[in-house]
Amino acid sequence: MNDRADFTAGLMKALPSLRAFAISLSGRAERADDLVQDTLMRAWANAESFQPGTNLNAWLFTILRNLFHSEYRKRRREVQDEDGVYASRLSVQASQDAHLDVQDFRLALEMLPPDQREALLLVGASGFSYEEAADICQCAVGTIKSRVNRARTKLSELLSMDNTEELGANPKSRSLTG
Amino acid sequence: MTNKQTRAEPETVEEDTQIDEHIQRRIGAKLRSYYDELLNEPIPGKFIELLVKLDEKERKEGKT
Repeated sequence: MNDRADFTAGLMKALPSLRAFAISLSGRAERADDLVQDTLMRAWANAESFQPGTNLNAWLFTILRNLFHSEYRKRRREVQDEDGVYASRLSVQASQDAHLDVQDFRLALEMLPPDQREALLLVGASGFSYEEAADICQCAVGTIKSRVNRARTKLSELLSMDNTEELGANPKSRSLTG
Repeated sequence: MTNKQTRAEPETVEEDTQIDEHIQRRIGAKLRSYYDELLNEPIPGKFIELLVKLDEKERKEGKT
């Protein structure tokens, strides 16, 4: 039997999604790569505690998330103005144009509280169920649901989404011609 | 028309209030296009190298 080879192959396969999660969680590519590297090392060192046949991705995401939070708590004391910087960048971006859609979204995402951001990323982007996300975050399923919900509400506010917008009818631009 | 306190909904519902379904869909779509870009980024070679190195080390030490 070659459990180790399977394990290594699993880690390789998980790399893109681990890295995407790390980048969107931390908001910085360099920091994200450190997180991924630490996750791989820790996963390797603890390979014995992984049960083959269970969800390797969920196991890896749990490790990455825990590393992120212990680091985040440390950094929070160092970088106090982070929120202020993001807020000013967002308002600049938002006033520019609609082609920067993904950029705007990224900045809005960074403004969410970490617990809401990670819940939304796990459920809405990484494809985990509410139950799996709850396991990864070591909290109740209801907590994940409410975090995801609050994250969506906050994003819709930040991105100024409302029902009229989607119809493509912009009353202000109409009034200019009329 | 003024709109003074016509609503008397209990505040406890607030936490579980769902946002409009199609706004939810649009956020979902934005989230996925943002995330897909990340997923499609090339993986830095150092991660592959690290795994290969760990794997080789294991093989050497693990030989019984």
